[in-house]
Amino acid sequence: MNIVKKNEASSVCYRTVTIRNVEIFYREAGDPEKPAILLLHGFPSSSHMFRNLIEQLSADYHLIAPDYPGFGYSSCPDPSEFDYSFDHLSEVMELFIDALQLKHITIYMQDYGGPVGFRIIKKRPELVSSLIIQNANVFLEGLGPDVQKIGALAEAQDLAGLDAAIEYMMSLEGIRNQYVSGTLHPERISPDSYFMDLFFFGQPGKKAIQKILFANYSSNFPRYPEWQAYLREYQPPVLIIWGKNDTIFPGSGALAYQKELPRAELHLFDGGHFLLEEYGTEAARLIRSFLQKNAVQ
Amino acid sequence: MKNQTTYHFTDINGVNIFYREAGPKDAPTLVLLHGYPASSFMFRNLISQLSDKYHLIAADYPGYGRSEQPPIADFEYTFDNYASIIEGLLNKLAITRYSLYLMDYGAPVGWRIAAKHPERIDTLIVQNGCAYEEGLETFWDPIKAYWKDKNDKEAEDTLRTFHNPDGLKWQYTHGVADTTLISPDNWEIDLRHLERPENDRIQLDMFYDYGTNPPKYPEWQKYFRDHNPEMLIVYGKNDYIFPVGGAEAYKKDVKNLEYHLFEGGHFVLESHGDVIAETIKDFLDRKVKY
Repeated sequence: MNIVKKNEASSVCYRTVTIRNVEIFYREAGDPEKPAILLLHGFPSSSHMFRNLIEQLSADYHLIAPDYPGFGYSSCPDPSEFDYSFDHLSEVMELFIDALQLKHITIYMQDYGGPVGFRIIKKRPELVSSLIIQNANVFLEGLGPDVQKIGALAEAQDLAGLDAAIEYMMSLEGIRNQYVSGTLHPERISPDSYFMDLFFFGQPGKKAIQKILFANYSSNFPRYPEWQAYLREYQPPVLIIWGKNDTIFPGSGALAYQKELPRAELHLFDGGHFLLEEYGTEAARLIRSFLQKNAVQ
Repeated sequence: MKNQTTYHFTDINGVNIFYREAGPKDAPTLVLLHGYPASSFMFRNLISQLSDKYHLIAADYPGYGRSEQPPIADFEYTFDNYASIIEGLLNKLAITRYSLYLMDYGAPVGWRIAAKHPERIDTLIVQNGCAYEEGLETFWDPIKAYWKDKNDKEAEDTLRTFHNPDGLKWQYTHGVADTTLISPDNWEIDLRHLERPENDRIQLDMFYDYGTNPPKYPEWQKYFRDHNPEMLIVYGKNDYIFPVGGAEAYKKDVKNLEYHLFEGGHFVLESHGDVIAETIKDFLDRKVKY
């Protein structure tokens, strides 16, 4: 009889690190000597959205998926003590990158991960070895019907309407819809995904924070030209994987990247906003092949 | 190439049952039976890891995970009834031959099915699940007191501590050398399920009904002797709930036994999932050929 002491070195670990008095939770897997991939999550999720991708890539890559302050298992300081803005979230994430001594990374961005990630990339282009962009928009033509509806409410200063919209997006039905809408195989969408998000929103103060951040979302639009200019100027290796039926950021946003990045590798999927839930295995395969082709070190 | 897991709801005996499924439907089937107070969520990674060559089915029992939780007044929360629900699901899915993975509560559910239909069983994979009196050590003292007297409020209070937030985290982390390997998703999800109205009472009723299992142990042991099923033991060796004594005991009756201990606890898939998946794959590859 033998007693097996250890699992593979690629096991996922669940850790925290304190950044400016905020405890940041992150999932980490793989050998730190291997190429690093930083996974930046979207709304209404957390690093939980990367749980399967991390498993699938951990034999060959070093994966790091943090939860932003106020999201997932990261601490959730009171808004009187913490500025919930995209500027500030990206500052905290930049410090997180430095705290983990990540020097040269592939950055995966989805949804909110876009505005968080592009702020960092613009400021610290030397960090970037390549980019993986999944339903993360930086073009006005990439704003889908859901975002335009919210934009119209904001323009009309319809505060009650805005509040109802964000409340719906944090309800079980609204969260589930963000996962299931636009999918070709709804049976592939794990209830773990939307229930986990829902459970986090049930914690004290979590919804109030989301409303503040939601109101700050328009701070991203004026930054689009400078992020586009970064792409044009630096031409980093880019893999675009995109659920084209997403009503938040539809396929038009993916195609728009081609204007600045003629060499980008682009794959449109017959899916929605949370592509990884429906096409995780295929996405992992494409990521692996992209990183090998570009010999990311 | 791994296959994508799918997620389903189906009506079994009037209860809406949730199950996860993956792998080719014509491949050998492995039915995964979860423990207390978890759900098929505990198999999320194993399902994916085995899905290239095997057909996996993992259901949530009523009152657990995403399956419906019928009111106590309308549903009998017993191991007999859970076995009947799982059997009903397998019948509905027309799965007539399969291996069983039995963990914790999954063991008494699975033994009922295996002893009733020995001809349907390809193999048995036992992970911290019991069929012997000597497997019920100190942890079980307050539960045994509860079997003697269901009005024992002191025992009841002790039983509740097993699935309160601290107790639940303990179930996942006790006996694990490096607890950074244990995903907090486990207790986060279980706790939300446990908070549902009446769920606490269901947990106590199931503890009480567990008392129906030890009297059946001799019958299940006889099944092992009479039918010589192929068995793989993959046990977390530091488990306080189902300690290794209970794993050792199978050696008395199971002739075709492969025995592996892992340096982990009760939910050893969380810390040793990759190596256990490899062990299972190797076992099934050799033992199940269609």
